[in-house]
Amino acid sequence: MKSIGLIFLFYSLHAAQVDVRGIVINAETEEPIAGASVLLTHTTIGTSTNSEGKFELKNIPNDRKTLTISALGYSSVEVKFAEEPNQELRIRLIPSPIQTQTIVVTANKRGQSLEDVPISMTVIGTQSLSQRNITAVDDALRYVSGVHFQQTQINIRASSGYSRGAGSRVALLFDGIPMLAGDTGEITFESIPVFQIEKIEIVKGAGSTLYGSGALGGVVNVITKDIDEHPKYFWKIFTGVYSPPSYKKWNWSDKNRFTNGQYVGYSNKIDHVGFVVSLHRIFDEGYREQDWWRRYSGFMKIKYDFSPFQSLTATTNVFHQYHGDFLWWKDLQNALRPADNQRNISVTSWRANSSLMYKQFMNEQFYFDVKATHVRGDWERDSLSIKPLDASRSDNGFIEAQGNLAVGDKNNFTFGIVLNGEQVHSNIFGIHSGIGWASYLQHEYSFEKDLTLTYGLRYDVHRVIGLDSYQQLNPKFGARYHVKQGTTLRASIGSGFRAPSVAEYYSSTSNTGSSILVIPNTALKPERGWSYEIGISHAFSEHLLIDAAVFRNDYSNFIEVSAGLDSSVSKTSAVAKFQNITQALIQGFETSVRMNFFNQRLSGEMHYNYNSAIDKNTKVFLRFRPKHIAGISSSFMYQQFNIGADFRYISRIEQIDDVLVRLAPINNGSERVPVYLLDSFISMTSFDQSFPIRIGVHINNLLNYNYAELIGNMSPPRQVMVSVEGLLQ
Amino acid sequence: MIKFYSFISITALLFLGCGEGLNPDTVVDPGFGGTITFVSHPPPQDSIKDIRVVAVPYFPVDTTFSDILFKVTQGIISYSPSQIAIADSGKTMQYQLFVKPQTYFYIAIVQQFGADIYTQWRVVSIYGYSPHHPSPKSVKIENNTFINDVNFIVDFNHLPPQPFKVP
Repeated sequence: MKSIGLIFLFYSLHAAQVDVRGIVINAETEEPIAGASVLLTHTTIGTSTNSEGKFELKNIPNDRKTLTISALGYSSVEVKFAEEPNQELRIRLIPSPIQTQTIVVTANKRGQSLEDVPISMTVIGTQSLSQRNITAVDDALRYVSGVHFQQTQINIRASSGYSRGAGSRVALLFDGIPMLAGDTGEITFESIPVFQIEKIEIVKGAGSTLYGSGALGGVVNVITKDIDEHPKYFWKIFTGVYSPPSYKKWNWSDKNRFTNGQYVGYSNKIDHVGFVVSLHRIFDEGYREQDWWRRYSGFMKIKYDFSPFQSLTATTNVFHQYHGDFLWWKDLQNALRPADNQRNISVTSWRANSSLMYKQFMNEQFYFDVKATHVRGDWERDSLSIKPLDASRSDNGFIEAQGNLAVGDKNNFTFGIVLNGEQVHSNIFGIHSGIGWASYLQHEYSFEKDLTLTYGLRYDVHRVIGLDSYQQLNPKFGARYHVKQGTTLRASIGSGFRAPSVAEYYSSTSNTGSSILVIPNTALKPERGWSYEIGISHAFSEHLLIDAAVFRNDYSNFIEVSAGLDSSVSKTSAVAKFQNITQALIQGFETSVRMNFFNQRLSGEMHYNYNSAIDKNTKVFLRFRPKHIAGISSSFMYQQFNIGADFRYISRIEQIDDVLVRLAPINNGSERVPVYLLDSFISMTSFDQSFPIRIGVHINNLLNYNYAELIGNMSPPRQVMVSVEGLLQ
Repeated sequence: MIKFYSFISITALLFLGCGEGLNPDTVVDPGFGGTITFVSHPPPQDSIKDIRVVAVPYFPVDTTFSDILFKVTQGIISYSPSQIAIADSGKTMQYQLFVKPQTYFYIAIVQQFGADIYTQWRVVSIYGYSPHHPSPKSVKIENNTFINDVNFIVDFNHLPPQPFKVP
């Protein structure tokens, strides 16, 4: 009889489900907020608002009556709702000039307010990506304070130099799952489907305590959008043209050089199954000879809700790229033509990543998830006569189980275990495989509302078959103290490491586009580093916030390419190999000012980052790093129109690799200037309910300034683009 | 509003401060160039692995070629970045070499005749050398200066004195 009663109770709980609809609006202007996250608290159920600010959640169990609503630029709120069926909520978000209430997940592997994070973080929202017509993630990251790129290689607070893609000191996560290439350990930003991105979270400083190898200089976590409850078609087309070269000497083509792209997607939710599928295609004719590319990608995400507390999400992303290989210019007089010995070389690459994530809320105190992913990378570099010159195929497998336990209001524990393996087949890296595991534990303790302490530890073991295994122990400690309303102090200490990639251990090739032979070095050790940071954020008013941080990073066993002569290895050419060369001390400070006026219609940000990156052995500045990075962004909204501009300044790169310039050789390779870059946009958004549409005009490098982001590589000239995007629902 | 105007002013100042960037015309890299005239038939192609111009800031050059190579990697001796094309007898080629501004006391064309980059080199022409003028001519390169008319004559049948020691 007792069991019958329990069954009755179970069914009555599930039968008494309700639907909740609502609209999220700006509390000051009463305008709808698109893209706001609406989450049923302590469940897997969530959605985001459409272009009219509306949302709907179906089949909500009647024992859950709290929604958490957050949006970039607004203070997040928790809203309790009544048990009335089919109710419609009107939720007002108060604009926050400082984005302090933004929910982030990367810093501590769980959702929490940006205000409570003890380290420096930046969040890029979907609106920013759309406004700037971002087509590759690296283009979005270029606007972030303290971030600098050497072509596609990211450098956060001067942690990285340039290594032609072999190894990255920044970990890239895709929905929290690592996405580095198995062979080279590099990040291929262009493979990420930009149009599916909800936000990008950037952690500055070592993050290996939670994310393991690679998170030595920082973490970039790309988070994809939730699936909408209603059927929705979305599309975008854009086209653009590069300005002709500034000087006649640089002319190499009689034709204008165009870029264009198309993107189309569909999402829906039928009963318990939600899905989104999208296809992208981008062609670029290239502003330089032999610098064209064609990219295609397909993305699919399926989410099955077993119940409001259990879900299974499957994601697949397939990317194909075919592009000309432009390593460096012929010389400055022919800056848009490749070196003579690099003509007619092309690269074909495929990248596919598939993942499964199961998430379950056991109760309001404990939830866990299990993530598994496979990343396949496949590329081939061909000349007209030799196919392939170089080729590599790699597979990465990764499984992680993570739990999160809240004990009372003051304690939060995050813990997990990770298994990973990789396999590489390559004519330049050989055939190799590796396996590893790791476990981590982190505890956050809130003394009162004013002070939160975070400390944790991660232990990693990894072995490339045939080489010695290595173990790494990475602790961290962080504190956040709310001095008073609007003023917060933060401090953190953490260690990080980066294991050498298979490419760094085993690279062996003479096809380097130079007269240099690359040889293996299996004696490499992991790089290690300690990060220290103290920061403060202070809101002078609701319109103005200043954030400042002082940081110091101590690195040892830095891996860099070293080229030279070694007659015991080769009597026929110079040789280069990856070596643990140096110890480095990188310190500096970073400050940003955010402003908001006229109910967020006029907003702006200024940031400045100073880096002192010194080789402790030679006492000289580290290669491929600038001393100063600064930026100013502003945008103004009036009715349907939005106009804005971003200005970036990067001081002249202090040191380059002179030996590479001489031996490669790269003619005029040492020619470099400070970067002054101005991008601008204007867009018009129609809120027509049946056919919302946004038309944008974007001008990148408006000043048509000629600079080389990487030695021997002229960066793009002015580019004018027009984009149109819309929804059908 | 004061803050807003400050913001605009700082932006304007930064824009005014930037130049036009890299420019092929204003950058005069220090160096020299000229012609190479071949007055004899070249040796068989398989004995010409490489031909370069080297500029040495000292004289005499009394060392092994592997030492020369190490000095190239250290930036002490300059070395033409790409291989010079061989021409038939009577033909003239143009060349350019960008170097650090200083005086070069020995400028020569060297030929790699075997696979070993450390030893199998020989000098095929020296700037300013002739049987009647057995010392090489020096060339002083100053900042933002490119000197033309550093010309060579290559006669594979009559090679100049070889400065390189056999290791």
